[in-house]
Amino acid sequence: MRRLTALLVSLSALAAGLLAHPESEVAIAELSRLIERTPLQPSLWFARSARYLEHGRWLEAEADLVETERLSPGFPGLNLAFAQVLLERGRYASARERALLVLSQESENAAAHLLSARASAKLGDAKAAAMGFSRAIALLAEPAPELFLERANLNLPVKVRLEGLEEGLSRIGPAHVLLVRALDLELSAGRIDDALRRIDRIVAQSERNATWLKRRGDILVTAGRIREARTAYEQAKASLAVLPDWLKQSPETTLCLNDLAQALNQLPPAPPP
Amino acid sequence: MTLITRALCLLLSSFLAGSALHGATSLVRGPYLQSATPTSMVIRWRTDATEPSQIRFGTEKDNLARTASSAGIHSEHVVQLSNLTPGTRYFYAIGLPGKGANQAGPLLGPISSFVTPPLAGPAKATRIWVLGDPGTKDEVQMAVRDVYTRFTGSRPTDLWLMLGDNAYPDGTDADYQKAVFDMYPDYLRSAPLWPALGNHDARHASSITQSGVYYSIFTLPTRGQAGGVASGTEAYYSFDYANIHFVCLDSHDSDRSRSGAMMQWLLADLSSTQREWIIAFFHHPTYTKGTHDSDSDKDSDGRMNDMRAIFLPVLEDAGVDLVLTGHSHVYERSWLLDGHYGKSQTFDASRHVKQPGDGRETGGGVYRKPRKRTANAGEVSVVTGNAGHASSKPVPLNHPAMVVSLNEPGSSVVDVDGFRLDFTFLNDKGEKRDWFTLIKE
Repeated sequence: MRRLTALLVSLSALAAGLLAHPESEVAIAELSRLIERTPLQPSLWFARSARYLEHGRWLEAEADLVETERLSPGFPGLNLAFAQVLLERGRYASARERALLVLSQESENAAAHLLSARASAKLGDAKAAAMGFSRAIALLAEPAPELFLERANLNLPVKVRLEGLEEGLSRIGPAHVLLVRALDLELSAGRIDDALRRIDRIVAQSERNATWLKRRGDILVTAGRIREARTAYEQAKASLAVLPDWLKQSPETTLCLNDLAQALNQLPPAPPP
Repeated sequence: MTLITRALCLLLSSFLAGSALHGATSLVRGPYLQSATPTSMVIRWRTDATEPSQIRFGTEKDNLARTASSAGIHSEHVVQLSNLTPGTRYFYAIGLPGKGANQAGPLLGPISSFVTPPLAGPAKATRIWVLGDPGTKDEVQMAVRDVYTRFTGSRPTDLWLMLGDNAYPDGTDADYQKAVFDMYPDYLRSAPLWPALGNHDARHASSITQSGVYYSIFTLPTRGQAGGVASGTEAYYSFDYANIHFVCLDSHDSDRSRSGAMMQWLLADLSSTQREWIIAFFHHPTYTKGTHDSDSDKDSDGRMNDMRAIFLPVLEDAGVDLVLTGHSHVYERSWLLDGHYGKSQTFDASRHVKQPGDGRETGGGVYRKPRKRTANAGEVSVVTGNAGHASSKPVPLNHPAMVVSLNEPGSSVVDVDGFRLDFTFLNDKGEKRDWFTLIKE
């Protein structure tokens, strides 16, 4: 039966097309040959599952992990690999269970925290997910901005989500994607002044900031702050005017100028000061 | 042990390590230059013993009067030189601590030098060396390197790009030692290296956790400090050099969706730059019929499709001029193209070729683009994943978007001077096998 499984897996690997990943296919074929010869060696099954995992072949990866576990239930790295495969296959509760098993033995395993957080998010358990992300973020020396975004997208109060983004901005610097997400959240909460503060940071790091200044104006219009909106639009026009000639003449600059002219024309009269 | 006793022990061990070991300390790798800006340079190196991290530097070779250091003692050293003058040659060496508190110790390794990038904006003649998939550690990689060395002669390399798969087979620290640090010591210490992540590098690196060998070895700009918009990650980043804006994407391990963070950052970064040229580089090619097939949905798990269908439209819309990729161990160079985002059978020269011809002054005429930034004015895509090996077997090399397709090892050279860009491909025998010119007018 095991030989048949190995053969089927080998055949499916071949069917996936030798051109798909020439080096990986060679490695998988070699591992399959070794498995044929020594089918009781769990490291071979595990090594092949890693190759499948690398290429998103979740079904084959899981089959090899099952075999690894049958041969050696405590095989190192097995639960973490299972957690990843199960998460990818949509079996979120089982994925979380596996990740928690890893964490019961290695409480500082950032990857396990991350997988547990993602599984929890899929299960709708935002609180557990947030804890998982926070733990992973705390353990990583240089967490990617994507992790802060994932946490900020959880169904949590806006204040908590913004605090998480603020932590990201302080840890990894003024990453554009974090600033924009924070801006959107501030606006969704109707916190205009905080939104303007966010947009000012975006403006500061953009060499061509007219579109962001225009957005600043648009936000102010929505808030009924017409006089300030006019100032923002005028600042946007001024920033276009100082561009080098070859950029000033570009179609996108022309488009932006037209948008600004239209926005200024449509401004309602400002209330008396 | 109380906290104070522990602190005292730590202090004592630091002192002993610093004073006793440096007599026998030797360099394991580097120095190598990273994250160059007009006013700063990161210098990294590794020693076989822990030492304080110190660089002595100055604008005269025999007067390294300034010092820069980082706190603590390390074997993996990272020191940033700041307050430098743009476009200036600096001499530097690794300094070891002296015997007395205020005494300078001996130097570790030779005195090297680099030139800081010029201020971003104004044009300056710039030479860029491009290596795709170099890390085979063998004689082919060496031959490709030596050919470039002879080609460039006394003309300095301003910066060099690695397009991923920088160290075979697995991107381990040992792989990097042989394939990069032992292979290019002179270039590493004199010109900043800007790498992209390849699939082999990713075997020992993770973009989401920013961990593993690739991310440990390189120091890349995450806060927009070298120009461009802050990405917050070393997986994808941008930087300026004179009038050129470079964009490095992670085609392997970061989210490649339209709504992903990399795309959001890219849109902001491209719409922010004021540089006259835009060069994008990443690992997976948009078009290839070499050792990989960009028409296959399964090949490389669809990454080539993603880069072509999702990222290329954004790059072209922003007026990108040159797209450099590797992964396929061949050399393939396109026409001046725009708008070809499907499989090769959908390629229609009448719609997708902005300007026919080979782009050569001596042939069908150089490629010309308007000087004003114009969306979709055309870009040239180059697959040059052959700095370590070409395919040992025949490959189709029949992608219709390509003007030149060659199954031979080599590396590429980009020279930018004002509104003129000259591109050259050199094979491992020292032959100039392809070239073209792009002029903005």
